[in-house]
Amino acid sequence: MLRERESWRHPAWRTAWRLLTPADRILIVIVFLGAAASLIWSGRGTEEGGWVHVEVAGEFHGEYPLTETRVVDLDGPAGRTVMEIHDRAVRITAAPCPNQCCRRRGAVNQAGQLIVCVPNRVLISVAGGAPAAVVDAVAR
Amino acid sequence: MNARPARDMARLGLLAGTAVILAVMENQVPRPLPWMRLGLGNLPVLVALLTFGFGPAFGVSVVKVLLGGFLGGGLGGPASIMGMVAGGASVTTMGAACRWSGGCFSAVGVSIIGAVTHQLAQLGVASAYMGHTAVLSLLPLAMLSGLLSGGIIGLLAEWSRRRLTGGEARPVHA
Repeated sequence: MLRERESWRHPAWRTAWRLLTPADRILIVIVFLGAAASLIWSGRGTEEGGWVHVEVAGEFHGEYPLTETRVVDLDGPAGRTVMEIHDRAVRITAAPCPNQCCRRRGAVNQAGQLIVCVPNRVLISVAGGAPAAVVDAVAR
Repeated sequence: MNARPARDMARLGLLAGTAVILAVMENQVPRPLPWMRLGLGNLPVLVALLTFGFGPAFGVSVVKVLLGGFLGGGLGGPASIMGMVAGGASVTTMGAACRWSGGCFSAVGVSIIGAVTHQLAQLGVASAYMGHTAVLSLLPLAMLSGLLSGGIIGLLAEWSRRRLTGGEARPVHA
């Protein structure tokens, strides 16, 4: 099936594929399974978020408790993003960008989870018990 | 360690310099998410490992992290400590993978091992530093991005090594 697709027959792809040893392929599968397992584990094991921390265009916008239902308009460089907190979860209900990535992220409620809208420079992170920026310290 | 020929020292110096330049350059490129990056600075480290072995590669890595941190600012801050631990862990596991696997991994496999170790060490230090395990929710994403970037860097390293050593096929373990 793949052979019919011209791009996969490019010599660079074929040499790259031949370069892999059997151990390499096993390793790739193991890392993939590890990522899937940690996804399941982190989905179960993380704590409930308590606060929503919002940044727009690199600047602090506000912090809101997850327990209170509210709708917040976020005006960024690309237009207006609408954030909604409801049922102890935060979601984006309207976004100005064409790809609607942040809306498709869905509702988020676990500490450490993020909703990011790159065109509108909106960063929404869910924090645990106390309001605090969770992701700032990850090395560049 | 025995004295190395001046030619090898010069080549290692070039690799270390390239590593610093690539690492600093990559830090200037804006990224959508802070922990997703290609790790171009790792390319010369991997080439050094493949052509000269573990010791020299460790040296190149140390030079990269120290000078890169110095030039990029923030040497001694939490981010650079994370980078140091992760860089050291990454080059050590890559060296171990080369030496004790009996050559069953190609450069791509070794690079993926190094990249994933780098990501895991970084997240480990981050969660220890903040006393908060929320960072570990980034684990799946970190592992996948390590897989991808490690694979790409491994291919580039293998191709660079072939160019640099005149194309001879040689087992990975040094």
